[in-house]
Amino acid sequence: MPDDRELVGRARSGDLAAFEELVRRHQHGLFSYLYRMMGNADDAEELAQQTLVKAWQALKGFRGGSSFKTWLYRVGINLALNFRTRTKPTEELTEFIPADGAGPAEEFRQKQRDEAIQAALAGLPKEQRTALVLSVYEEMSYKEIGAAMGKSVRAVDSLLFRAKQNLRKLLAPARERGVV
Amino acid sequence: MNMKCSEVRRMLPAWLDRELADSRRDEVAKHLAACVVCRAEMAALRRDLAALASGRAPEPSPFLLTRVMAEVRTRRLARRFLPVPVLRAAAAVLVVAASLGAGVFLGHGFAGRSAATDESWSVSYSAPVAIDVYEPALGGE
Repeated sequence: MPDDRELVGRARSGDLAAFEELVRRHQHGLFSYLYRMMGNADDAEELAQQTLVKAWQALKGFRGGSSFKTWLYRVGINLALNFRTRTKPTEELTEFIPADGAGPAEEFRQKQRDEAIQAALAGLPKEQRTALVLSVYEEMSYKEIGAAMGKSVRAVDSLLFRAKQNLRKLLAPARERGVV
Repeated sequence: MNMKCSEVRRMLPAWLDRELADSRRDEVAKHLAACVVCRAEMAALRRDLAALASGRAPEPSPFLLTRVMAEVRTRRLARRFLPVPVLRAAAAVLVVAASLGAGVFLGHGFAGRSAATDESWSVSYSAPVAIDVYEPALGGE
């Protein structure tokens, strides 16, 4: 199984199958990141497509100074930060795959939790949200987040400190209701 | 307990993320062992992050890959056969104009657009634009 670096090399030479494999590998993570940034699946899907097509167009400029994933997320972050939503949130239409053995009551509870978390994320300034999502869900290091966001490690540390302080306040209503 | 509680609390997120240098990490650990208030703060932070991590995201559409690759192939073909950007832009204009012309000719042009479609666009563009306000950095930044 070729690694990303090899696939990038082949894709840069015009190998579409190699690029397709890169898309296959990273589309889920990229889409999840964008969903958490935008709060709805329609915008996330549109941005994911734009990001991946832009990545193909810009691939010749990718020098390999960071991982392909970090570089791809940087493309996505720039698009997400400038994206003006054209659709209303569609959480109520978003379908999740229920966990194995989860009954309707647990599924309902989890759905409430998902909505409360999405609402808390939406309450954060975009850069704090970006850093937090990359840290918590993508498990990126501060250095990787800095590379993806074009910021220093110190700036990422500061963003995450403030994001986590704000998160407590934003989760408080859901916590009082026993949702999270 | 050399470090102050305020210093430790500023470092707790990075401490939990294992992003502190070893020397700092040990100092924070020593402080936490002795300070019940900072331990409670750490537990609350862990609880917030665990709650956040429990949120699910949906899967992308199964057609995302297909759509991306179709667009990439189209753009590659356009670049191969129309290497000059001006020509590509002109071709795009021609394609759009031809589509509109065909729509008008067949009676399915703009006049045929549904009210629902127009309404959805007007609603979407009336949505307020979020402006981020950044609060001053805490902890000495």
